[in-house]
Amino acid sequence: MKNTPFYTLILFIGLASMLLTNCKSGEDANKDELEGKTVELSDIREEILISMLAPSDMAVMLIDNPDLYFNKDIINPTFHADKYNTNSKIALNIGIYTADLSYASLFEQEQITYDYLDVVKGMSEELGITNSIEKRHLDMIKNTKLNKNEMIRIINESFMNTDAYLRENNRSKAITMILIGGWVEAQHIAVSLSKGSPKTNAQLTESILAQKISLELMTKALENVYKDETMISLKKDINNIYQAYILLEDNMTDENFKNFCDLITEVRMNYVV
Amino acid sequence: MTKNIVKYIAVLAISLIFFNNSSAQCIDLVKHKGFTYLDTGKYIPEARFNALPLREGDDVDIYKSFFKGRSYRIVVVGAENMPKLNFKVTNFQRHVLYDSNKTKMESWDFKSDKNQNLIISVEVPKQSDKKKKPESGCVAVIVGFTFD
Repeated sequence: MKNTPFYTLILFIGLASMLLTNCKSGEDANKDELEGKTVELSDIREEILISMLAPSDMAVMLIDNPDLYFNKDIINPTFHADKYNTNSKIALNIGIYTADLSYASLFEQEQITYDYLDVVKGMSEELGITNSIEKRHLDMIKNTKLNKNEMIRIINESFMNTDAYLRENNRSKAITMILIGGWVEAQHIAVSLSKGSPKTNAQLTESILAQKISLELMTKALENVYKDETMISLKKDINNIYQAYILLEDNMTDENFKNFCDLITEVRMNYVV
Repeated sequence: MTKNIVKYIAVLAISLIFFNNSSAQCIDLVKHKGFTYLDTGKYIPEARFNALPLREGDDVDIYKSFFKGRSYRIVVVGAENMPKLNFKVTNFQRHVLYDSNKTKMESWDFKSDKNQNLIISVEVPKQSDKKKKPESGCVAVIVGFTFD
């Protein structure tokens, strides 16, 4: 028994450190239905990471096009944020708002980028992610004239903080939902700008079709989803969009393109309501 | 009995602290060493966090989309205590597009000639000295792109 005080001391220091760490991160475990399991360091031998596109990268690849323009009417209004009261809806719409603010930043809309980033910050905190968007970054967007490169850098660094936090806390469901929300919203913006026709902007049409490969990775990432009802529903949406891509690839007609655009809009509508 | 329980919980607590600390080191590795090699003045870092703790002998495959006409830089870095990492970029048929064993570089610049999903395979080589305890630490893959 003579070692017991020593182990008790270690235990006390350990638990106190864990408590302090958790307080700092603002995690609310009871609230988090999207929390994952802990993976032991010793289990990692041969890993596969499926690096699906982040909403901001997705927006750049799709919408960075000199012939496009900013249209506030096609993005999800910030006042909707108050109605997202489940963790799943919050996660999906963090992705959606991140795609929206990336679209705004590509057209150097500082105020809209700032407002949306502020909303994403608040929603992230509701999921227990407190340090993703730094105040200095918000201040830079608000007070400094930044070009699109500088704004995208800030947005990407902020998203990376969120991604790192969720990865390190094994909350793969939350990050997957954010990525799906972002993918669908970026596509929604693109198909809205195309006005449902492949002839409106040839480069945009090409970019929309190019995203089949990113959807393939998403499909791969969702392969093992078979228990969780919310994830099964999202997997079904992604599979439907993938089938629409295959149809487009086989037969690229105005009608099939219009149907593809309508499907994206329909799926997105279910996420933002 | 009480002694064993206390001992077990203490070891578990220390392990969790170690896990948290090693995770925090990963984001620092990306933002400092990774971004330096990327040259963030030229390349914009993509937003995904592709870093994890590995040990000597481990490997990781990262599946990623690259788009036609875009210029990319792929950077692979490890924590200071880790041996020099090897990485290959292949397509899904495992045709090798880049092998760092040949160039001895930490990064690869390329312009994607088509829309394609590629695999970035990173290997942490085993040290030849078998008496030494295998090192473990963070490994990060950072991808950047240009707006041109």
